[in-house]
Amino acid sequence: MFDPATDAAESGSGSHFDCTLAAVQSLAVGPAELIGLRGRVSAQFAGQLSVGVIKQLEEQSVLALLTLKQAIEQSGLTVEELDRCGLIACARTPGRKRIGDSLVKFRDSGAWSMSPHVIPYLSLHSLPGLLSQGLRLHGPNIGVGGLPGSESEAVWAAMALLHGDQLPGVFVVLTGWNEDVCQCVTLCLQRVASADIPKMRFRPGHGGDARPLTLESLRAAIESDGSGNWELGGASLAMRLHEARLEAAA
Amino acid sequence: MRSPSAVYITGIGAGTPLGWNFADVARNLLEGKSGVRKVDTFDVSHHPSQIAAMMDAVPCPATLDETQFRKFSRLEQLSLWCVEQALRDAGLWDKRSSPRIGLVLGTASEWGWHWEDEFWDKGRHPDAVADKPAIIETVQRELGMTGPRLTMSSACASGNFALAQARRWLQLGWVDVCLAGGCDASVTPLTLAGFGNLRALSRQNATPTTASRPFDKARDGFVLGEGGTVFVLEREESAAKRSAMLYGELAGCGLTSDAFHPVIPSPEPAQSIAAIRTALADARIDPADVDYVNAHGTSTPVGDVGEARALRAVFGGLANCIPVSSTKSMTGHLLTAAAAVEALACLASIRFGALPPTINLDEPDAECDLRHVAKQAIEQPVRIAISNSFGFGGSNSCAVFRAA
Repeated sequence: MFDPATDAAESGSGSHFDCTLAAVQSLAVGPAELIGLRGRVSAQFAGQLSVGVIKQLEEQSVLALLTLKQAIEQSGLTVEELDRCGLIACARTPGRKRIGDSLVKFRDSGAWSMSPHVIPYLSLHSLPGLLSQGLRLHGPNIGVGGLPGSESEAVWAAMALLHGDQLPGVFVVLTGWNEDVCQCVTLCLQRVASADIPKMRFRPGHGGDARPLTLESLRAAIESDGSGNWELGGASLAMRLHEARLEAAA
Repeated sequence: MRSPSAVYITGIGAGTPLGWNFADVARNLLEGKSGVRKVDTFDVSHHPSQIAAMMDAVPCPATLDETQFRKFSRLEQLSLWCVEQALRDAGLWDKRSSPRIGLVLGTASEWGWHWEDEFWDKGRHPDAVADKPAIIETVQRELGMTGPRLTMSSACASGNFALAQARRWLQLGWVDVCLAGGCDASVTPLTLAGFGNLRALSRQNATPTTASRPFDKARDGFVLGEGGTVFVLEREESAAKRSAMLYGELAGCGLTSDAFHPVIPSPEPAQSIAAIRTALADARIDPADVDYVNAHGTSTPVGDVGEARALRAVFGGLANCIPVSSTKSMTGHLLTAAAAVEALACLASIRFGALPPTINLDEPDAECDLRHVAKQAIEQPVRIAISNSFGFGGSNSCAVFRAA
């Protein structure tokens, strides 16, 4: 069970919490490409998700499923470890068109016309629940935010599961539309096994003046030199994908 | 007080059809009162389910202007009410601007409710509606809070997940105080129709107060409810230092996922069993130590049987002795706020030495063979109470509360 003293020692200091990034996956597509990706989901998840479930998938879920599957493969976690991993999923306003269509249909045709699929597939819990089902993850899953600007909250939640609940890993899935591009970043966080290899440092109480964490800025950092510093609403986050240490970070 | 990392509940803010503070909600739960009635805020004549436990107008918190307050959505009003009341109850109102006070709020689809409001009130399609600030942001801004925040959902288990997050934030030393809970105001045309068409809701429209009947042979689905509860959590040393009044310790949490189906709980309750066992282990207690179980008990045919099986698996023969009740028989199912209100019920059982009943339990289903607290409260000292909450998407949770 949780022991604050041990946990602080593992991170090297009581004031920051380090983790390794065991997997990083990023994907961004336009509406036309989404059709093809839906086909890939059908092919890759046929054993875990029924045709009916796949048919109902919201667009952001399509990218989330594919990047999470790749992240799991990249993470090197064993089946037993994966079974206990946590999952944080942060989508942005899923279902704008479908909920709009449902409202119009309801107004024109009455209560009976309301699809029973809207609540299960377009709520804040829907994406993490779906991802757990699709990838057979039995650890805690949490939907975070729901509105643009919630990415930092996802990191707080993930770090609490990782360092507090001592899970073998936590997957963080961030998705959202930006103009006509649907984008997704999926990370696999693991507690630091060696002091020499931290790749992400979370420092509560050290907000600083860095830019806020957003899906866009995280994607940009991953696609450039793999490093970044962010402010998380009362904490700082530093990422270094290609360097061993974070001593000077954040 | 027990371990160095013990976390205590030192304040409660509540708003439900059964009352607008801890004392009133607790009293009405222990008196077995139902908050369910016919929905009268919109036309339900074509809805399969026409009943709900609905809130009346949310009282305006003392610090806010009434006219301004009424411009907020009902969910914003409820969240503001619960958070302000919790801070005042804990004696921390004057400290609320500290960056070391966190806020974790369980909620569902606030953007969807905003779209629905705009559609019915102004005829605007969601495509033409700008996003609003998150409710948690509004709460912090209006009440002058500045600490870290988290809006989260694990469906109907959200309240327990929020409590678990807050407990970890405190144990990791990230905050000195953390508010956590859940608020929900889901009785809208779209939600009532959506759950109704899923066949999840009771259709006993002619008898609203007896429609929610968890574990009863005649149950036919859940009844929607509204309301919320927010708790103030603190570490032992912080609470002791300021001689805070203690409602109880949040002693353990267990969280798992079925990974089975978006709506249907797994027929094999291995993961709900794991959640309960993890919570007991986290609290370092044996099953025999449990004095009361507040069940998830939604009143659905499948869910209640699955939970009874899980409790039997965890408690074995002790399941014949440990009292179990579902307060959803009175409050309805508050969805993302359900676990928070049921945590309040557990703390009420500890505070008042009495177990809230499952009302309407006329003929227990043989497949839900447990020691039910049927129809009336039972006076009995409670040292340890546990609360199960399970949700759509396969989220399972159990929280353990211990007398201070």
